[in-house]
Amino acid sequence: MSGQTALEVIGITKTFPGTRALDDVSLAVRKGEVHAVVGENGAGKSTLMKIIDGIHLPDCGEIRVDEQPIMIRNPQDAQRQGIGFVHQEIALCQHLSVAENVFMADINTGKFPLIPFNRYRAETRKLLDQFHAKIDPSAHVSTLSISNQQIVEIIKALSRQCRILIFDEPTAALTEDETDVLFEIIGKLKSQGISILYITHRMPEIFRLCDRVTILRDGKLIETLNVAETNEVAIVNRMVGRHIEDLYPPKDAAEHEDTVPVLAVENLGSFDRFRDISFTVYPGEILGLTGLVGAGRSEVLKAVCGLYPKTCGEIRLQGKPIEIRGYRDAIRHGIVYLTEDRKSEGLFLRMNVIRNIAAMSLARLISGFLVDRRQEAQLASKHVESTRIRCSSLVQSLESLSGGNQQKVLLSKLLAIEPRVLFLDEPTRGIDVGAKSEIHLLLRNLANSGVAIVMISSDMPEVIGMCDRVVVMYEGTVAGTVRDSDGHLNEETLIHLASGLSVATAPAGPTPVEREEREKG
Amino acid sequence: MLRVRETVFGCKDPEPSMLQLILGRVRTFREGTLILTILVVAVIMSFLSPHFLTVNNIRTTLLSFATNGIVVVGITIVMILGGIDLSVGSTMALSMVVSGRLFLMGMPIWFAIIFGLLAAAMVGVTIGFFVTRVGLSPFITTLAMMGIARGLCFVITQGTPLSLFRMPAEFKNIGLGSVAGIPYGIIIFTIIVVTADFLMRRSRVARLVYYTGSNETAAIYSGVNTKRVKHLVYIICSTMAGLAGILYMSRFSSATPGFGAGLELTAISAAVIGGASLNGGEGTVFGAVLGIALLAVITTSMILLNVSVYWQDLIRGSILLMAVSLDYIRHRH
Amino acid sequence: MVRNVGMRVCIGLLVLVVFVLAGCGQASAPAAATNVSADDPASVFIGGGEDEVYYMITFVSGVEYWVPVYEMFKQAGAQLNVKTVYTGTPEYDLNAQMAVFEQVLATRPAGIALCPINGDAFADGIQRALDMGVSIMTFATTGEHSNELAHITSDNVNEGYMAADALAEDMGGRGEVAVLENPGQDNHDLRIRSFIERLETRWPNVRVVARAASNQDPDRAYTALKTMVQANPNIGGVFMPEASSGMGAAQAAIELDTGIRVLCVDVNESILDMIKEGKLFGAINPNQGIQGYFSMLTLYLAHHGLIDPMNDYMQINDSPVRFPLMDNGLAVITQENADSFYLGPYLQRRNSRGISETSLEFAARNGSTFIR
Repeated sequence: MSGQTALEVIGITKTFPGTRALDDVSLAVRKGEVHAVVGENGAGKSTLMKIIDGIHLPDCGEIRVDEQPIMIRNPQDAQRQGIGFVHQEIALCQHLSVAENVFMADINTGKFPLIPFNRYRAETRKLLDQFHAKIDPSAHVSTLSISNQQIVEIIKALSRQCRILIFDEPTAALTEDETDVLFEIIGKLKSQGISILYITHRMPEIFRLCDRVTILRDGKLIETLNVAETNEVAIVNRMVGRHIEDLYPPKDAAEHEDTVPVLAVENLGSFDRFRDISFTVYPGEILGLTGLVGAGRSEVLKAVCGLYPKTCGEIRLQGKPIEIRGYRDAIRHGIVYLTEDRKSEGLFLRMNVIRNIAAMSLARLISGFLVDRRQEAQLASKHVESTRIRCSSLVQSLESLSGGNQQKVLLSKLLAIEPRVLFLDEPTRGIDVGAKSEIHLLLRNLANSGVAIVMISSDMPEVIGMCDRVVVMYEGTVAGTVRDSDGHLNEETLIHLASGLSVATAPAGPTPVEREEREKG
Repeated sequence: MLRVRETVFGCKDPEPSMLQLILGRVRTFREGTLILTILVVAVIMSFLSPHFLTVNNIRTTLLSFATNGIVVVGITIVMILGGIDLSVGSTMALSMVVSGRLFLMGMPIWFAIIFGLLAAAMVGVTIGFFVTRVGLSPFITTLAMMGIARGLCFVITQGTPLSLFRMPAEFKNIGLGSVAGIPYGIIIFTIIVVTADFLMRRSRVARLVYYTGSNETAAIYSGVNTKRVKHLVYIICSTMAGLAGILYMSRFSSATPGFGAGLELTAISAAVIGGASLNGGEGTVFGAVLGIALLAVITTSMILLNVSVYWQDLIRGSILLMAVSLDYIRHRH
Repeated sequence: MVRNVGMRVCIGLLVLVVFVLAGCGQASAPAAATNVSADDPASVFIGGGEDEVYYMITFVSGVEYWVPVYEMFKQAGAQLNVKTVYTGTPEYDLNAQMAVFEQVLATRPAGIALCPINGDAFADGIQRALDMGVSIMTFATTGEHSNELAHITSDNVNEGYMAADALAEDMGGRGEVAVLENPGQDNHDLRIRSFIERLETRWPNVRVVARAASNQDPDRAYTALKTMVQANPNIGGVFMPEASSGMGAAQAAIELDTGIRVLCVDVNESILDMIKEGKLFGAINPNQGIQGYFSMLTLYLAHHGLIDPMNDYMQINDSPVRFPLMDNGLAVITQENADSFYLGPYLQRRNSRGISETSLEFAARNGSTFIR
């Protein structure tokens, strides 16, 4: 795979007040190559991409496009050089139409005195068709799902006829199908000679999509490898800078048939969103809940907690039926839910670590009607230590923490009330490998201490690596349950169930064990 | 920047000492800049005018923002919640006018002011209803309430200020009297501010206000009944405005339907100068009070210097812009 | 076009005479006469009754100032057997007022007496109204005038002069005074300017030592006066161009207790009470009822074409009614005459429902030639 170099950065160094974000980093992207950039959060990937896009200026170093040294002072310069950027954070105008967003740059340069809506709509339609996306070009962005917004974001970059395209974790919010389509598009772009810089956390994507991979750690270039000549463990070890033996902690070996489940949910239904949902969780067990995005996984857990309306169903805690009308009832029973969207639904970003951790425990921390700040700090301190949160101070605001540490703070907030049942919705989404394995270990330890855990994840390797049993959902119903100890817990089985196909290798529907339990209950 | 602690895994000692907590507070002490700004203005003024640093002038300046300061306390809490209340000026006039009218109809003044305060609280109840139950934005709801309350004032008074000279002396004394040279107005204000500031920093309910303002969904997902919190806060804010109205009534022996027009903007600017954010989740009562103090100091300074009235707004606006910029630059990182 | 000085002087004199008579009547014999019966000769009742409607349009329409204006507008309407309606915008909002004007115009009334927030903005609308045959008259505000048939107002300059004279005279012609202002409102600025001008020309030993903006806010006026006295302890009087500041300044003056004379323009019940109790030195009050009566009368004259002056109105096809400026006169209210200026008792003795009724409703209760 030799070819001309499309983009080259040489000896880039960038210092922010207090940190050296990039230290002498060099990287070359060939024409028509998909080049992955990986590294833990804070490794400098985003900073590097922002320098290429002209958002930041480097302290020193050089950027070459087509082997010519160039200056990129702002994103407009980058656009002129044919560099496009698909941002991770969705940066669309929510109250404008899809077409207006896609052609924002055109509208800005003002080629036409009036906005040629018909033309923009037609061209947007063409681009969307490439993606097989059912999005109306004149729909408002605010009415689209997150994954469709992501597609609009990608199309917006593509519309500018760029030669080098940077993707910053584009699949984070996409479903499997949408991801497949994206990869198809990327393949097409590649065949047109367009170079792709691809930032990701997901190992399988590197092996499926990329030609070469550059690993960064702590702002330094570690190595650029040919994907064909390496493997997952080698990349992970270079990313974290230490040797990780097993990606996942050992599982729970115990059999639970005879014990009383901590939580039993029966025939739960909510209008036409989902129906006939039954599952049980035993103490010390991690139960996986998976399925395609949109299968109703989050809604089921939210409905159990009183955060989503339910129309029927029974919930039993330690064998006793309980009534949950609102989330506060659930909290009272020790059932808590960790949201999948930590920034907008989970954290108080501008508040400090102590106050975030104490948010659910105030009732225990009051003396008179005042908050006992000494106890509050003690509580936070205890959890900061036990979940290994890296922060410079307990009064540091959450905004300045990395994604992994934010997630640990969120988890600590739930753990502070000493829950019996822990519902986790995508607990490791968007956090780096090191923090991810720390959270995995933490969850396993919690399970071992008797907490029942139900975990939603779209990350198949994580589901397989972490869960003792997995309930797979398909279009609002339980498609099947797979037990690790049965030996059927593998990607193929899960994907089959999640796609609504019956599985030859696994028993369809609830296992005999589950049926038995239901009759017992 | 002060660095309180720098460890790899959170805290070396599991229990942060009081000293460390205090240092942490100093680091995030927004009010510092404001106190400094007020002191700088005061020092400059004491050179420019011999009358600035006199007991009389200090008392006048304090009294000039004491009553409006009570309104600022209320609006600050609303802003911490992430809301806004444009109706405070009208609500202030409403409590005045309701008590004044009832008094003129023959009700004893002490009962009349209870009804005045209730009328103000009802404004808060109504705002809370439309914001939490109907789901309207606080901006629109309070804009409408501003008109409704003002309209009620005009209906009740028929446009005429109510003359309340016959009010009993002991009631007038609240607005006019003083103890040991300190007017009651300043004493009441101080008590309210100290209590409110303490409660906002320490009480559980106030903490729920900060949670709701910082991230409402996250607060709901932490089991906070945000609707109840919001409702309560709007009632507190309106009642504070009502209380201010009663104090003004006592001082001026009259209930004016047009009183307090434009007060909402002064109060909001004071809160913002004091560190409150229009997006909620931030701000302190103490800071907001310093904000309105700064505004008052600037106003009295310009009067003492006999600055042309045509220049006063321009100068006031410029100083505000500088004060807020200074604060922003200092706390940007 | 009739814009000659002679006419202006004539009208001015006429109004002054009327004012003096009215003033004497009010001062000498309050509430002495009895209600005259309604059955007078019908010679003057030539109006069209229910079908001939005259509107009075104001802004901040709830305030007390307009009530006596409309009271006399209504009375003239009752006497002329036409219908009068009071309307306006509750807020100080030019656009809203223009909308109200257009709505009223759409009903094709006989005439409109308008107090415009800004005269220039209404120039176009007034011209259109005149072209439609609707008579337009403006009152109370100052500033540039457009094409209206006539304008009647208080002379703000004279108000400033009278305030200066009253204050300076009481101070024995020497001392220090202060002013509280409301910069940006034409008539208020004019009062302040003429007040200062008069002191400079006629009372050289009375100096204006401090000026502050109170913007019609009693609390600001209170603080401002107290602060001004810090720097100028010898202030013997303070003037402000409106009533709201008067309430605050009076309270400050009482607390300072240095004998400061507080003088304001316009009154309300609180101000009157304060004047009566000697807490406020006095107030200048425009004789606003005259604005209403002569507005109605002028509109009526124009609508029915009742005058035929010797000028070129026929030649240029204009209305014969062109009174560029009429002065409604004013009064100085002090402790002695304050009783005559209370609105409540005034409406009560007239058996009137103020701005909420039409002239016909008023006449139905009180007789059409209501005179006391």
